[in-house]
Amino acid sequence: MMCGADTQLDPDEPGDGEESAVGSAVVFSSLLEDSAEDLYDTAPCGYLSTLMDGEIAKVNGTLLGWLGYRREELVGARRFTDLLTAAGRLYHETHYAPLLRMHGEARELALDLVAADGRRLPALVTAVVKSSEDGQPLLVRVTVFDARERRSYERELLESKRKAERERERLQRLTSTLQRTLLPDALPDIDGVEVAAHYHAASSDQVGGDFYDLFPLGGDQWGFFLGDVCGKGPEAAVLTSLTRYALRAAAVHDADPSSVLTTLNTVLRQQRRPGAPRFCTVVFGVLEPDGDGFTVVLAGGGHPPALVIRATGEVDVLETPGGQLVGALPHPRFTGNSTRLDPGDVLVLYTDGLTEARRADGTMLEEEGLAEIAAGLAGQRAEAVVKSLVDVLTEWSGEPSDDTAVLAIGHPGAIHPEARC
Amino acid sequence: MLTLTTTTGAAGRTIALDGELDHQTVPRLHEALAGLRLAPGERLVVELSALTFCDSSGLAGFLAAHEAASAAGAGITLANPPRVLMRMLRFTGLDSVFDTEGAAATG
Repeated sequence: MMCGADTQLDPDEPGDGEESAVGSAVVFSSLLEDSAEDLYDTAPCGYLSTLMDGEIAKVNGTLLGWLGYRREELVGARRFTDLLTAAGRLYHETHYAPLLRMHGEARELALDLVAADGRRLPALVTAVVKSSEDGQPLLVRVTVFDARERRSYERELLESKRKAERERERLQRLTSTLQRTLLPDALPDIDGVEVAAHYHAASSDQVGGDFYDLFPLGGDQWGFFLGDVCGKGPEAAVLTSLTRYALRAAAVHDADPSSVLTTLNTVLRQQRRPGAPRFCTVVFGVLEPDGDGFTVVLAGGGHPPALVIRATGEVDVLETPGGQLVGALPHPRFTGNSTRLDPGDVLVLYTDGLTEARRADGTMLEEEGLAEIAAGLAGQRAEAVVKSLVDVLTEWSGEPSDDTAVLAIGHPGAIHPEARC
Repeated sequence: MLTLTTTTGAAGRTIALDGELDHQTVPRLHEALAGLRLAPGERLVVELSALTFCDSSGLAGFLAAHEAASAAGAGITLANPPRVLMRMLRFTGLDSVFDTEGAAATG
């Protein structure tokens, strides 16, 4: 079928009624846009051509209208850079011009054009170099899009981003303040004992779920605990706070470690909601001077076992087999254990952030790995032990992805000189 | 990511967990178990061989499932728990609470 405009527009030409109607519509619209010059001059974007030195050679009516210039005020009279702000000229020199020289084009540059009356027109500018057949650059063709709407949207977006950043900083400050209230300010000085602790919260904007404390029980006795609550964030903070105070209060009445854990279990069970168990794993213990050493009595509630690094180089694992996590079950079983700290011994409590730290290949340190490393730390003081364990953790998994707490209680006494190195 | 698949075989119903069980995905386990409506005397098998991660929230999920099943007069069996989960159950003393089968060697 012939598609020429003449034949289609001839009313006498017989043909398929529907098809010719469609054809007519296409032709009709092409007639409306019949002048390339008009399309150039009144296009919905600004057009501008400059010589290679930037002198304006041609400009369309749209851009003239936006800027409020007459054609003769620009063509042959100004350079493109004359239409830019001071900052824009600098940007032109450092980005725009080098891009044009190197790549023959510069795309979607956000620039402000300055109108005749000083108004600024936010614009998106794209420029392409037109070259002669033998590759010599002749002129630069520039399209200018009105970017007022877009720029105000970008400003809103930027403001929202800044606001979100401020909120995040506020949250982090709040979190770290809250975190500090959940950990002891400073560990107490105990005559003849050295203590050291490390705490790492995996996230800076979520309160971690690990906790520890060391506090006087009256007389020569000291209570200590270290544990890990279920979950993270505000829920974990509430649970940690409750757990710490319940443990300390329970120990005032009856410092027997299993009794303390039983009381904590009752308290946590009172706070539980249906379908959302609130529980923690914890080791609770009591330290008491005994001759030239200390006795340690402790109980485990579903927590990885404490270690004692002996001055002699052995490592004792204070297993509390069958001890169940606290707060999850109506009648849990807690298992006790006891030991003695002789001069040079260090008791180490830790959370599974240490033993379950993963290396890049996925392997975990585990209790066995920890015990091996601990054996190498014999003769070191509490602070050095904690530092070494943190170094191991960092070396093992880089930035640990889980909360980690370590508490070391050492009897410095007379350290065997041969075990020191 | 966690995918839950329920099947019914000759021995009863099985729900298989594929992926990670943490505080984000554990509500889906609760929903799925609530939807099963365990009958008194029924034993649901929770197939765990494709479980790749489980944290304390996941453990809480299993505990809640255990409690809900007990309340309905039913029970759950953790089948083929990965080694890491077995370690977790052992340390928390929950290995005596849950029925397990096909547990990986705990080394």
